[in-house]
Amino acid sequence: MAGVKKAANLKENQQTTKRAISVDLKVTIKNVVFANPVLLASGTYGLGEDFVSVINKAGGFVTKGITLAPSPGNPPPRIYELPGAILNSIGLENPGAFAFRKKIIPRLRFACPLIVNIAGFSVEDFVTLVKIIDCERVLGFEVNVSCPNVAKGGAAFGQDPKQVSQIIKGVRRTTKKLIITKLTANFVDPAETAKAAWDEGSDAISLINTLYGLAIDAKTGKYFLGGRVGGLSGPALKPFALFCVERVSRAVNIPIIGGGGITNATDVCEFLLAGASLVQIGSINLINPFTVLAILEDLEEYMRNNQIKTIKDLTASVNLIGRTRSNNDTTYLSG
Amino acid sequence: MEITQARLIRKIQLGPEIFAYTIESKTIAQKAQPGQFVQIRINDSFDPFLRRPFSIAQVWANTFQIVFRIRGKGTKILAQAKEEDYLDVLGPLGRPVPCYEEANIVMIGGGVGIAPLLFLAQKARPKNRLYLFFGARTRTELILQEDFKKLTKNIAVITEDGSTEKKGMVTDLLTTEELDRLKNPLVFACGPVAMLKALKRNFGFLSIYGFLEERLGCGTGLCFGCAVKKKNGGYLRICKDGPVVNLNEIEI
Repeated sequence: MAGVKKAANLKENQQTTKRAISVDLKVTIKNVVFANPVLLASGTYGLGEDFVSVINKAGGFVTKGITLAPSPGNPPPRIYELPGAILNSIGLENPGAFAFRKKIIPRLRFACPLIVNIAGFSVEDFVTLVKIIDCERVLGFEVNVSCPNVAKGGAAFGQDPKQVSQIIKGVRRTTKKLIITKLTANFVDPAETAKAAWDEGSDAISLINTLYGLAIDAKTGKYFLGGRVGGLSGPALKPFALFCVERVSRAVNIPIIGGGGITNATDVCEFLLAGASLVQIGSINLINPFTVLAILEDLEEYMRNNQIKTIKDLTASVNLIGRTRSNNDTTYLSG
Repeated sequence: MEITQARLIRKIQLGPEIFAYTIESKTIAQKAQPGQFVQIRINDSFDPFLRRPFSIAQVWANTFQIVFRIRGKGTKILAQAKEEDYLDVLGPLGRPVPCYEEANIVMIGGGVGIAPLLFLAQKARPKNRLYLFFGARTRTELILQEDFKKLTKNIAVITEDGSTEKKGMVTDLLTTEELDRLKNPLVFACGPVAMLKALKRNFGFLSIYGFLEERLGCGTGLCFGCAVKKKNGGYLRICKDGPVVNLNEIEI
């Protein structure tokens, strides 16, 4: 309730006092125009068939990970909950590349950029995935070298800069579309894998995916998750994600799509300030599928209050903003 | 489906650690159909992180009711809510139950699992004949009796501790002969997984629609976190393909 009321009050303010300032949330990477910097993260918003009116407002939509063959996913339980975070082991449940291309893509009705998250189990898989899925409707690929809860491939690829190079080289040869490399921060310095991806022509980097996690039931002495290993996500990860985003943004000269525990507009600003050009929201979609709408409203308000005309001015400006804002303006940040 | 800040109009304690909340939401009251549920955010913090699902027990013009037993952290906090408090409610969610074309409807409830069967009974048509079989641990947990009595005379109850006339499990009330007599009834069951398993084992020749009252992820079909194994491979999403499913089509 508080959030809704706050948003309503802010709207009033902006109409009375801040009307003159118009803000620009647009971010362009390669030839893809994102109307705002908030993307819906892979695996937290399905394949894009539901909540079309919400997806329309998002900066971009990233599909659930698509594998070459249909994948039934992992046995239940698939989610373990803890304060400030969840551990999931969905196991890339998806209809496979052919069914996705033939049956799902023609059904997608939203207008924002469609980015397809592809998850291969070999270098060749990634190339084949792009060949099958690429079509006019698809504006880019998020190359998933970071899924923690599949038996082979996944995060193991993302832990080896050489493997990342091979995969991105193959995908780059296959498509001229936007390539985003989704990196892991598990047991690897993502700055190294980011450089590898950049060298092979990746257009952007997204991170962090989930972190490895186990849940053990002491009562039964068994693993809690059906897939044993899970991926940890949620607000508890945010400081680590911010650290990684800042680190990687200083290592490469391509845009960073940051994420990890974002729940509101303040978090979005933090990621932009740390060096991200765009962000992804994930776990919060499970609690409130309309979150992106609230974030955009609050983000515009933040920009107006802080006299920031374009969202690009926020990126990697962590020290600059601190110096130029009055206390009065920043109170909203902690609200 | 929408998220609303809905006022808790009436809080009643139905039994030991069992509560009925009447919540104000015109949209949910008007849209909800039997079998559907709502997801309630327990508090503004991220502990508990996820919403908690609650079956809809009955609806009126502008209000609906949920019934829950305190089971863990989430329900314990929810039970602290007071009348006039606002609850963050997402719903209605899930696939409604199949329409009841059959004349005879058998409802089998275990414990607080009785609640969504009440909504189903209220939406039955006059031509439907309703039969309720209800089991609970003890007499004080035989909730919502008065509401069911308004809808049908065919009510059989049983308790595990024998604090009623009959002692045993709800499955002890059901016999193959009895179900045969009702000529292909439409059977709905809601209760503990052990109860659903026993029903499937004993009466597998019938299509029993079970309410899968499990922990969910998002509740909206987005996360694929609430999988239940299909008989012929693959998984169903409880929140989207259920929560009411033909027990013969899944492995439990």
